[in-house]
Amino acid sequence: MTIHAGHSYPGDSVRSVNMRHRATRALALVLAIAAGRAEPPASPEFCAPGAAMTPEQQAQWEATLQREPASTQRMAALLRRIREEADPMRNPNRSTEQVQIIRAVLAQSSLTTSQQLEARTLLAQQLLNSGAYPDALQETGVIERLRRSGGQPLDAQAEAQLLLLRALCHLREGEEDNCLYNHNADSCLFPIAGGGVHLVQRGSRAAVGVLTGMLDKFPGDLRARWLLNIAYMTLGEYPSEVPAKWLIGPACFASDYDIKRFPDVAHEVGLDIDDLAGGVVLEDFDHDGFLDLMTSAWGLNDRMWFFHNNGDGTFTDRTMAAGLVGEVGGLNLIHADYNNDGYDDVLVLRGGWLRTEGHYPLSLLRNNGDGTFTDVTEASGLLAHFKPTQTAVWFDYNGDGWLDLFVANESSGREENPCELFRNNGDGTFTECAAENGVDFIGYFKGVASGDFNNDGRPDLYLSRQDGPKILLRNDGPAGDDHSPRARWKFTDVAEAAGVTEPPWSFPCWFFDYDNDGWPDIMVTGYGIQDVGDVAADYLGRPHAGNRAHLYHNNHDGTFTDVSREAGLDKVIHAMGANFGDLDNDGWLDFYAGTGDPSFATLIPNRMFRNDGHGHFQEVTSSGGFGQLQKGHAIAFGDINNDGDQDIYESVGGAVEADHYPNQLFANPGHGNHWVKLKLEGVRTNRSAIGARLKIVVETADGERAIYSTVGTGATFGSAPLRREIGLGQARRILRVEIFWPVTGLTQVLTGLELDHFYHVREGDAQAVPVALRSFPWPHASSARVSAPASPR
Amino acid sequence: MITPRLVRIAVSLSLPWAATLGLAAGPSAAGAPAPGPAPAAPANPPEPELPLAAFAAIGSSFARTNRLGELGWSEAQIAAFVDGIRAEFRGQGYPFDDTAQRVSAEMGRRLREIEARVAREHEEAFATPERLEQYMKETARRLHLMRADSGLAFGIIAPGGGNRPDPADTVVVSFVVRASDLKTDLPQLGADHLRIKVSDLVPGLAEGIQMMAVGGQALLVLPPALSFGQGAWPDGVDRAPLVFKLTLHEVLSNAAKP
Repeated sequence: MTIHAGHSYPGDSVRSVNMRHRATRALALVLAIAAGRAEPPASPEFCAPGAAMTPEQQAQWEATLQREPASTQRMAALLRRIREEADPMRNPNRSTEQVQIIRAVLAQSSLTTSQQLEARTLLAQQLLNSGAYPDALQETGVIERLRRSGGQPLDAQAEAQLLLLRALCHLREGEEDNCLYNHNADSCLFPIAGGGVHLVQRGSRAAVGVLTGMLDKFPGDLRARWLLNIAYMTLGEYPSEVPAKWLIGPACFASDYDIKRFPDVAHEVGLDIDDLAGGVVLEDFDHDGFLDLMTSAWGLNDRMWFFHNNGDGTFTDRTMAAGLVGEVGGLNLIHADYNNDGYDDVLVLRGGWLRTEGHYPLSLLRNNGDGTFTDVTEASGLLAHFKPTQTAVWFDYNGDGWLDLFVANESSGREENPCELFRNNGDGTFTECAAENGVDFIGYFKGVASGDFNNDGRPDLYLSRQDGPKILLRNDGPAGDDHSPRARWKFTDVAEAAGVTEPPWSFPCWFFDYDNDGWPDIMVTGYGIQDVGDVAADYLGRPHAGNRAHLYHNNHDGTFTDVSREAGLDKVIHAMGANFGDLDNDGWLDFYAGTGDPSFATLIPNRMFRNDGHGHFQEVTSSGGFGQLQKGHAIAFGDINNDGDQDIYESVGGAVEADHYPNQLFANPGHGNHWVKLKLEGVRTNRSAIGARLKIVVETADGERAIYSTVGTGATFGSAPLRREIGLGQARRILRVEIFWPVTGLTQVLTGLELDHFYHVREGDAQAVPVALRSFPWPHASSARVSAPASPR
Repeated sequence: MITPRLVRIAVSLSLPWAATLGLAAGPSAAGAPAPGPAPAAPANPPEPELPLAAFAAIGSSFARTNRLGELGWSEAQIAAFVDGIRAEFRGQGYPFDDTAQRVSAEMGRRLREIEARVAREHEEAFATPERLEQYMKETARRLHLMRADSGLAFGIIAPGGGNRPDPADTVVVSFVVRASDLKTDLPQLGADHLRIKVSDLVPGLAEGIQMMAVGGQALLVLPPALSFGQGAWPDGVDRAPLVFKLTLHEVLSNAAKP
């Protein structure tokens, strides 16, 4: 199969029809969407305008693309064609185009008053989504007048919606004036204080007016109450000026522990990429000892970014030099060394949330080891994909030493997009074999993670979905007598018996041994609310219908116990992105959740939870400065400056066109605990060592202590470094490191390792090889308010 | 706004559970057809293009609802019963004579026995906390519902927007109710645009209504303790979980919540 501009792929005929009939369909579609009879232009996520380029930059970009490998050029052409042929009305990140289409529909004089109202309501929403706040406000006035003149007064629900829309226009104006155009390290950090208080207050001041009026009329509207408290925060008047009857007190947001502030230094080091929802990879792609950064964003105009870590506090944009021009539209990224050449490669996932519009290809980017990547999707056999997805995992299910790939897809309505299992043939190609192995599940899957929950040496899978019980696939090995890598494999869904099926609506998930007992536990976060009022109700301790997070403790017998309540995690976190690491090197795994949904009203903090080592997770969102209100997506923990503790990088920005925001880099202030870093290299096991399990035994004042870690990239939205960065707390010395290699079943025992050092460990070698790492300090993060003008309007 | 619409679309993914309750079109997820309308009257004969399977399903539903299958009829008796229906449709129904009245009374007695036995079995099915929890857990999973700390199983069918009630508020609500088999309608428990104080609702409804916003619909499964508990239960209602489809129309009084 070849890809070129005229390449035919599944969905081609549908797209052609869409193109031909777009004009005639527009009216019906606009009205159907407005009336809720058709799928909305957005799905529960995403967005972005892509960084605007000057003509010169665009020309340079195009010229660079012409120098890229032919396969990369073909992928770029294919993605460009998909964008050109896509229906803007069904793509949430194309709000401006939607506005134009809706206005064209409204220009037709044949519309009834009801049709006009429906279309104008949609128009007002899309004006907001496109960032045309004054126009959106004006449109709400038109809607009101039209209703009066047409004898169609608003009912209470519609009136509240219209008021909320107005409030959001003002709030967004304030966010743009301040958090975007006067951005600093405190911007939009909840609870907002210091430099986060708005310098230009016109937006929030007007929002307070609208929201107060709304609450006077609808006192039980928790959306308005939540947003009113935030608006007062942005004015520096929280809590003192918030009317007592509407106040959500500071105690609701207090941290359980003072983790110390992790300043956002993304702007200072030039990594504050301002785009929409997308993926993140932190990895040392060139083996120089420093973690580099790769990001993506989900719109088909949204480029990837690749920053080389120079090891001195600076980062160089090498996107063009790396050959990543044209690789647009990545909603998520995961990495691994699929071809065992010693260099980590990257998989780009696309099409998630877009349902029938999401028939995008994957991209497999082979790391050439010289700072460049080549798109090998076609050559590897992965081009047959074209299913909407945002989640996949690398794992060696058949233990042949080559990483296989499981892609969990999104089926919706009548369209079935079965999950795919790509078996690595060991020659740079893959064979899709989900059906023959009984794992071609149909569902709206949002997360798939791999872990060996029964410690039998075979990697299992956990699947999170929006439309049904979770799936826990136990890898039972070959289904018959044939034990070769190509044999039919047996996977058994044991989720029900294991007790890990909740919650009904969920998104990111992961395996992690949170209690250091040597058995992987499971975390899955809920993703289903009516509106932001459910989140407010959760903070207030009132009844709500939001889906909560679930932490499942591994009972060591194939079953799990839901310990969410004891762990303090039975909360409505409403996470999209997530990952875990060790904030303070105490040897207990913590996690960060990137929160939100496409609605501007879902202005909720990203949340950080610290594991206290006693089975409980402490909320440290406020004390650490992690409560970014803007939409959080892919997250990776990694020691970017090699000072021994993990920093956190997060893709920030939402789904719709105006909901872009700078990504964040939280610099770890240090906590005085010990650590060890281990880069594992598989020999018979896959070279990335994915799935290898480590047990670090240290001596402490209280005796021996064991700390566990498994090689992988973490949770399902965000790809963390494969090297193990393990906190050792107040250990006196490392007694031994035990590494279980899943392919051979052998355990390698290493001794003589020193605290606070980095080692390279090759499977089977008698000794770990010390690696000298240079570190650099983070710059001071500025929370100074700049006297910049408001946004240009 | 986008979010409610998105949630609504997302909720539509779980149509099977709505179908299970006969709340939406489509076959029952339980494999049994949803209760259908009464058989068509002779004056309105079915149009030829209507699927005959539907009529068969209606017949099955009638037989199931009236427990005809548990009366142990012979094939000849079933044929005579169907013949009686057919004759009535032709306007030539059989007379309900003394023999028919005697047989009918005997059947009524047997049906009452059966219903009493079923009611006993039903109560026994939820007699222990473990059995009740097992039912609640399975039903929640089947209907794609969440569980509250109280034991309530709940899910939003259609999100509303705006006011959410407090216990002190007066609300206007409608609800339809089904028994724990998810099939049997309990019209005696239903309400249409009922004006009531939240705190006067049974505990499970009071809790569920506070999760909702005006215009929203929710599905609630109330364990006995959250409906009529140890108090008097309405006639014809087993001491078992009850399934409510609840609509919040209005919040009439809504004081500010400090």
